[in-house]
Amino acid sequence: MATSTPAVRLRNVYKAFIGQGRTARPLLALEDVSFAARPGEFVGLVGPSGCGKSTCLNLLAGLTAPSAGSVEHHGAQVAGVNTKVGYITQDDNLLPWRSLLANVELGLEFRGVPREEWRRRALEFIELVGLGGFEGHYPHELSGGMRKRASIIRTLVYDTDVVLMDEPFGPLDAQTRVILQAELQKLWERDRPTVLFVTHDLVEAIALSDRIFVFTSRPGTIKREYRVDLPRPRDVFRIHETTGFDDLYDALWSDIRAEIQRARQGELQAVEGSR
Amino acid sequence: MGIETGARVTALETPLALGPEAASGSARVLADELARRDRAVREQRRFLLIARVGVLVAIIVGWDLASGRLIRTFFVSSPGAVARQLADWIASGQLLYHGQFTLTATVLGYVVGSVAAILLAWPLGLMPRLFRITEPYFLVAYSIPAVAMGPIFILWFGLGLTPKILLAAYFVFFIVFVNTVVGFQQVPRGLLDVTRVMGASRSDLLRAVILPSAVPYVLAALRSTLPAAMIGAVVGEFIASNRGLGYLANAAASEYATEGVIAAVFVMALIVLAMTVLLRPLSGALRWQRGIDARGDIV
Amino acid sequence: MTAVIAPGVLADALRRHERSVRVERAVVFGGIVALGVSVLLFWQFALGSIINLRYVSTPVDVARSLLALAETGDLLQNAGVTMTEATAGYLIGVTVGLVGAFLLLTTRRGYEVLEPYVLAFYSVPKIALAPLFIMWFGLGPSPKVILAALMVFLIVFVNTVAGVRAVDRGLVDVVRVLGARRGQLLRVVFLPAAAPAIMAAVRVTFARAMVGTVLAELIASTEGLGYVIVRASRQFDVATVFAGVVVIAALVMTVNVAMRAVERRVFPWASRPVHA
Repeated sequence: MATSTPAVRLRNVYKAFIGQGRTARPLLALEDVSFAARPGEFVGLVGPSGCGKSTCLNLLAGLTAPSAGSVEHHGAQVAGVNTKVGYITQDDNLLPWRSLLANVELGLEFRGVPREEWRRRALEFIELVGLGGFEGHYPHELSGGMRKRASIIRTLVYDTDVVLMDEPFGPLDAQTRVILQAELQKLWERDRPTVLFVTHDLVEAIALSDRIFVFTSRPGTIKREYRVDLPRPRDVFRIHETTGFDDLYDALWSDIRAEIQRARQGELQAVEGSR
Repeated sequence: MGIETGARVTALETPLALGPEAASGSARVLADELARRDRAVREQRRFLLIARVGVLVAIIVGWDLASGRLIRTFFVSSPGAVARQLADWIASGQLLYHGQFTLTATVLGYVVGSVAAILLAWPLGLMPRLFRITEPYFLVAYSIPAVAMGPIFILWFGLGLTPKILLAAYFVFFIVFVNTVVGFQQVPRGLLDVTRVMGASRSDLLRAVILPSAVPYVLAALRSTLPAAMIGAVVGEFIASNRGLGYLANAAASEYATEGVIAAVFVMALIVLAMTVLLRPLSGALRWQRGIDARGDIV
Repeated sequence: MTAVIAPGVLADALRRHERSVRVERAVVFGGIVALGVSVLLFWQFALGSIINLRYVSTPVDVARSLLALAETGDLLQNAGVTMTEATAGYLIGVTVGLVGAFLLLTTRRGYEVLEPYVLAFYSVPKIALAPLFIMWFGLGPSPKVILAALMVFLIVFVNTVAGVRAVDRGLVDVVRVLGARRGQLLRVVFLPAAAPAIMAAVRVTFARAMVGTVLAELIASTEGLGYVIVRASRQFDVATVFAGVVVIAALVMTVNVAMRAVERRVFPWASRPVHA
């Protein structure tokens, strides 16, 4: 793929989950998944619900271990919680008892960054996403979009070279979503970290990514890889007018539609079989 | 959005360009609606006030009329007799003397019980396995009606203040204990995951995530248990004592002085009410919390 | 190829999971037993060197007292008295609480008018009324039954009212638009929606009935488990006091377990905390 070491890499990864309780049935979430992301690359992960996209991010964050295969970060195996990556979840997961500023400073504090530097960097990022003036507000006093901005800069502020984003804009309304996509692109252009971006929204995936991996339905594996050659910087507000958008969108959607149908047939068979 | 695709969309400058009189019209509608609402709220409030005061008056008057006519005074005494008894106690300093004793036991028991509960719940809340091992024993202990511990404490520590403090502490202990453990165990998984990836060490997690998220649970318990402490103290006084409000009630009962019993119970109820009001700010103490939690709250 | 590896991965994961579950279960169970046994052993053999055994007795003595109580028939008779009083009070309290709440809820603003009084009554430590009832009704079962009923009544009442009032406004509106009248609304929406809250209150209050009964017995009585405890404590017979406490705890636990089983059968979809 590339000559340099990839920023992150999954090699022949399998992941099985076993539910709680006595009648725990094992469930294969990932089956022989292999992919890699180059340093500075923005990679979109799309696929039907429950296909294991988020599991890939959890593996890279070291929150869970693979059942087989290897998970690598800059060529080194991920073992235990991986604090060298940034991890942004669908829920903003801000600490409700800390003000916006204190939330943004959290990672710097944990990482032993000198105290004088916290405030300066936190304020810089807060200004960058237009949250100036809200530093003292608690999360519940902010709107959904503001909280989302806060949770993004909270991760970017401590400057990791890999950022994992798990459907970060999922719960937002359509307009806020596009605005935040534009802001995310701007922030990404600044330091160009490697981003793995899980989403259900194909338009969002095309608008932001350099490459897109499409997952099959469960057990998830990589079905296809797409290169997004649209020039940067992109106008996310008019991305659908860009030449080449339609073809890419159609191709992605037909892939996913096929997977959804396959999954439904599988479910029907399972129900039939259990009768 | 799809502006290039043929048909032009013309935006109206002012969607409802109907002139100034229309604007004043909507202002009038708004004002009317507001006035209507205010009127309804006022009427509702007046009705409630009148009805509530009416019920109170009816109770007192009914009590006074029934006493000695419909029901023997022995059973219900009378409002006047109870008031006289209270005035007597206040004047003679009895109320202060006995009230002090009960309040001391209550407050000390409250502190001892909650501190013990928090200190024990802390490690158990953080170590799920240890908690599962000790849980059955806590369930057994929890099933013992707290009052049944009264004779034991009195047996151990005699008639003085100590058994009352312990009984009050016992009444408080389990409520605070259970809430604290739950508080420690209910830290949202997502918060823990995210902060761990951010590089939080174990002590960071405890300080920045686990402790703060347990605080509201502990506060809720601390808020609702002060009355429980007083009940514990009073129970101790009922069983064996020569001082305290519980003793006062019991002594009056043994002399068949109904007004004394009712007056003592009335004072206790007032104290509990005062405690509830006094501790109410505990639930609003945390600015970061949305709304007020309802657990242990009087509905 | 993948189809060959996948079953292996699954089987491995399952095996690992099962092993960890087994280990965990063994550790917890072993821990429970070890803890219980060591506490009993300590109490039996070591506690006496710290505290005078006159104050704490020993597990063997407690068991012996329990046996002695059982042999003479004292245990069965007094437990029967306490259980009868508590159950009678409990049933009265639950009935009055439910009926009272529904009567009040069928009136338009009844609850709002009475709210401050309900609150005030809620603040009265019901236990504090014990001397009053004993004074009125003497040493017999009535003061115990009344105190037990009183301990139960308000909790059931308040939770029923709260459960009904907490029903989702949207649900009520939809059913009203569908044309339901007041009575129908109560039957179709309010009752089922409030049922779990009510059931939970009904379940946890038996312990309170026991508290009321035992307290009244402690203060003044001639029979019942509370009486057994007080009598023994006057004779400084610590072992029998503990035996009595053990029996009470066992009764409360048995009733709790039974009611929880019933509740799970009747309302499998919900169990929730109570205002108590």
